[in-house]
Amino acid sequence: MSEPLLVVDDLRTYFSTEEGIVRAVDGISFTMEPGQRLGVVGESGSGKSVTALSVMGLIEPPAGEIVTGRILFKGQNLLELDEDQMQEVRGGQIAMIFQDPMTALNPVYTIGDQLMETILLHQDVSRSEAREIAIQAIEDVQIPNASQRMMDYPHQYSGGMRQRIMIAMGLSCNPDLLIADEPTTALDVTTQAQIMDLMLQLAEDRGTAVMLITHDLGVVAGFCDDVHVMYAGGIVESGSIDDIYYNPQHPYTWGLLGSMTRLDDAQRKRLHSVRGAPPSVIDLPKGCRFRPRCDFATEICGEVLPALRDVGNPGQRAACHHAEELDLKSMTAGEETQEPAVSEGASS
Amino acid sequence: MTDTTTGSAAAEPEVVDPSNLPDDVILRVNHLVKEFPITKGVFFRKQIGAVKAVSDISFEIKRGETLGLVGESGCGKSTTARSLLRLLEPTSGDVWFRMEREGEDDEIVNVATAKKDLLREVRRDMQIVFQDPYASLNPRMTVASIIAEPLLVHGEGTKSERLEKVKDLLKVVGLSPEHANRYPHEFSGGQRQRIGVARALALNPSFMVLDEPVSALDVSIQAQVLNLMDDLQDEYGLTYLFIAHDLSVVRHISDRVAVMYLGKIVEMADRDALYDRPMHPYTHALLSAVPIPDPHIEANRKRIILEGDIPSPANPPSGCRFHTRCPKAVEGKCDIDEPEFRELEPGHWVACHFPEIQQVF
Repeated sequence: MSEPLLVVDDLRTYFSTEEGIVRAVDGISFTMEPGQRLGVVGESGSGKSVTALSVMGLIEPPAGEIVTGRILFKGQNLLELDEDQMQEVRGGQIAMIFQDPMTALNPVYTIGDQLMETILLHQDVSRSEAREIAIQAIEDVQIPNASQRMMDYPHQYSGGMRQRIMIAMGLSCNPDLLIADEPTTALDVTTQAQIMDLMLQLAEDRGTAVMLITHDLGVVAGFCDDVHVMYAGGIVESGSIDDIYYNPQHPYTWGLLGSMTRLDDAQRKRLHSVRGAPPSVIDLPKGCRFRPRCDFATEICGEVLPALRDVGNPGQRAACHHAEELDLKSMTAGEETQEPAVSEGASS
Repeated sequence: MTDTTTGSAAAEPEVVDPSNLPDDVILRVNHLVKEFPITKGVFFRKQIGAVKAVSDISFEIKRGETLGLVGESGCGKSTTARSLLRLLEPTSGDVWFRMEREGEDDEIVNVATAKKDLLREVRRDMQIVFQDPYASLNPRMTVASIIAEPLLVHGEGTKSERLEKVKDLLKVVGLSPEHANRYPHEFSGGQRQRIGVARALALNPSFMVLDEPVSALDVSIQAQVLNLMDDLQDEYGLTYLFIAHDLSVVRHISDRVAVMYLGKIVEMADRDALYDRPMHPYTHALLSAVPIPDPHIEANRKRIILEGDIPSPANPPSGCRFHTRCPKAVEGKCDIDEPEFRELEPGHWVACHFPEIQQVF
């Protein structure tokens, strides 16, 4: 394998508020390979969006601050770049799609103007060439009458169409990495299917790596190669989608899967819910952050914050003191289609 | 035809004799229409059109069952809920509701036309839980006063009796009686939704409308609230109208399911019939679009991707409202004739010229 596309190393992003320091992202490390589709899954406040904003260099001091860590993009530490250099990377090599396409688009400029602005900023082309690229980008996201729709304003587009424009804008400069933060959460389910289909097709055609940030394990199952599960500012489990869905090693991942209602579930059995609510990221519990909600917690869980370590299938990692003993897989409701897990006890 | 005349939308509007309402039916909606006027002009306002949010829908709900009402944004599902509680004034149609009183005969009330006093009376039995637990609780009121408000409005009990009742209700919904003196901002989303449920339960209703009660909540909290709704139904024999856009949640909670598109019910059936043997092309598309949290299943699924967006309800398409996006639409038929809402199998109603059972997952 060539050098990784993205290396995030011990990233800590904190926000200062009146109530105290919010440790939104608290020591996460991961790598992304070129063309990889990575899902970052978690509930509200787990730190998944702040992770994305940190990579994009969109954490604004003094409110928020990247306290420690390195973010290496193609070997270059993004945290050492000045704003002008970051501007080059942002939108050019790393693009981002936000949840709400209405607030991400400027209502007083036409779609064409906004697309061309991005292209002119990052590519050495004339206005008429930029126009051609923009029209092509709109056609690529399957919006008919591209040259006419260039002259429309955002309000003349529906929600799904606006999100297509955001994708067109994100991909117009052929980035190596596309970060999509809940791109379909605001959309209806049939529109969601259209958009995810489109993103998958475009990412595969161009070999773009995608970091998909979402709370929806269903969307991840159909789109991603690998998944990180985040909880209260940390990654609690990571692995391939098969590892995570069929052989979860962390009680939180297991609980999350059990909490989900499924379209194909004909039995009306009681949902396995995770009791309680996520902790406040201002006042995190000592030891494992999931301990207050965990059915399997013991004394050590209240003392020591577990590190992410190899457990379960090869390449799978979880941050749980008891991962080996639990055998969560046999307790997982639903169909088991995975071959027997290779047990790796080594802790890193 | 069965003895019920549920939702024969294309038939002549029959006058329902309320005494004919089968004993096990708690609510029957007949030809409900809700239009919002589109006006023009500042001084001489005149109506230039109407948004037909709900266009002639009929259904009934049996005592103790949960009817799931699903559809995408703008399909009219929330307007339906609000019109049948008369939080919105229906444009036309009847909403027959069975009011049960201990030791007395049931009274069948037409909520759509009931006068003020009767409406107030019937609303004790019909309650609603809203989607947004942040917006539906007054931030300046304590939890105790929020939950006690329905009791106060209906003049129930003394102050101390009401406080006792509040404490009981807090326990019932899984909160602690000590929470009574706190304010909504001190609670998480899931806890706020529990407060909303406690308020709805205060008057011992028989029927509850749950309007997207878990959509704003995180997955692990969703499961808690869904389990709570299940428990409450068992405990108090409640009847639910459960409105949601999430078809997985609806499958979990409902006994029967109705699918809405652009102000119409297009398909209605028992839960498993609707999910396993759907007949309407829109239901097919909707079901095929819902992701399943299982990578192996997802890898082998074929999606029916609909073209375009939902048309404006101010100017719905002619004929079948779905024909502009329907993969099966036949020119000269679907764009001209409105399909009748027919019972094709016992209890399975479909409004389509070319219905066909298709398994989509």
